[in-house]
Amino acid sequence: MAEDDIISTLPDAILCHILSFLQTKQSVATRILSKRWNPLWRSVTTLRFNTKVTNQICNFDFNDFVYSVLLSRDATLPIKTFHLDIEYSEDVECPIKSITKWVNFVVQRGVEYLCLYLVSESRLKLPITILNCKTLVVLNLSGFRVEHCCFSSILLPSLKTFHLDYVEFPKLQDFMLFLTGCPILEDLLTSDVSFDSDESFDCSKWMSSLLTNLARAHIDCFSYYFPLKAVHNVQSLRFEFHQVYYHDDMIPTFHNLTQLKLICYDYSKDFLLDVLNHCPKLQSFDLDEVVKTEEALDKKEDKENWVFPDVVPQCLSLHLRTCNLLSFSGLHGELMLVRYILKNASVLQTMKIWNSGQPEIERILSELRPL
Amino acid sequence: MAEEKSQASSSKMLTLKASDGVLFEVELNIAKEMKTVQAYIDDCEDIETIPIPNVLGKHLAIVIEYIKKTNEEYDAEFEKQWNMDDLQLLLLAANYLNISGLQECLCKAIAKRIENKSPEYVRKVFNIENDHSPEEEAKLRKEYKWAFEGVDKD
Repeated sequence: MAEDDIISTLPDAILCHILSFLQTKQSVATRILSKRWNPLWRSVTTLRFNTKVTNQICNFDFNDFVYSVLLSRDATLPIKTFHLDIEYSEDVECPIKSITKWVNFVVQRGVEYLCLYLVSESRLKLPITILNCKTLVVLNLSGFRVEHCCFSSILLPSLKTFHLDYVEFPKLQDFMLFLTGCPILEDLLTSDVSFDSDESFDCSKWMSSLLTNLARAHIDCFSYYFPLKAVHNVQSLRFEFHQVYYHDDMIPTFHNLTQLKLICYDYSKDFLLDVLNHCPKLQSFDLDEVVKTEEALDKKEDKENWVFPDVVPQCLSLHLRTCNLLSFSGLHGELMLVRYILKNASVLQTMKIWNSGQPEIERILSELRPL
Repeated sequence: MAEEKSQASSSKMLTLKASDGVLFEVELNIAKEMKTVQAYIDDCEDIETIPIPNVLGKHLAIVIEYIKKTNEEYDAEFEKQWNMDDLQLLLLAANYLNISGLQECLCKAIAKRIENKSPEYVRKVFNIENDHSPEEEAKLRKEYKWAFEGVDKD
């Protein structure tokens, strides 16, 4: 059992690295541990602020702390990570000017990982200095509004990961402009991304060169429209979708897509066929229906809706190896789907069906097996 | 010709001698993950036994196992097995041997163990002696007072 102060014998760089995993609040507090530790927090290039502001005094103290940290740290070192996670209570005013200043400050200091999660009564306007940050590799935003005036020159040449949650754009066009400014993007996540204006927008001129490096996309649009064409180059897609938004022209051809996870609020045969027909190289397909309304259940039992064609999508004949069907209830439409896949998927290796263990369903499935 | 040479060198065995005399026979490519050892080999090509004066046999064994098995899953479970003293000694070893992956894993693990704890707890766990006078400490606490508000009671 060691009684020596081993840790303080390690080099500064290692101690700073340990501190970089802590909230800045705690990292600053290590000043008092001993004289050796006093100056270390200043050299930490990761800043993390996570708090809930419940009253005006809290607001003032916290702001004061952030400003002090930004100004007192070692100015010769960059700020590589800036993680801000703040919840403002209803009657507390969100300090928009201060937050914008902090973001501008870290952008100027070569920030690479920028995570801004804000909860307040109204969404904050996104600081425009972010839009031209050459060093940014990861950008995670929640609770912002991107204003129209910003779109003259968006360029994020190093951005590989972009996660948006509860973010508002004035028009669809503005969102597409944003994406064209991210030439090497690999990972895109959108959840509750909305557009003020509903005007239709012709994406075709953007298409071929948009997001050519996109490896993974996670698109959650249960409640909002999303321009699926924007991610047509992606390799692996997780798509959460409400059947209500489906229209003929909606699905682009996904030339590179090998892995698809589809989470639906109701799905029809036509929709599924449309999807499969547009994923010529698909190897892995997961389908989950999370909400089953009475109406959705009735539609699945209506035999007329579930006659599959003889013509088979290319991915079924040539590529599909794995298929997982979740939330299976043994409805007619679901069984027809299973039969269609088992019959036509020539290179299928694994089909897994997940239900709540009802014996009736197991019996029905065992009847399908001889196919 | 170059291919043959590299094949031969990857199956070559090396002996590492820990501070308490315990010997470990390791493959060259495992030993090379320790940049300190790599530097040693670069300097003296024919060496067969390399002394590791700062690391106990017990910890060198753990380090070697880490290098052999490291992956995301292994790393996630790795740190749970060790107490704080071992973690610190392993970090000292990883620093001396210059193994960046292990250093990263251990820094993260140590940070996790002191997360949200008070400075008093951290001092106790690391055996850090407080060489600030009470006046100095009071002044430091006042300067960034928000940092000292609402900390976990141990």
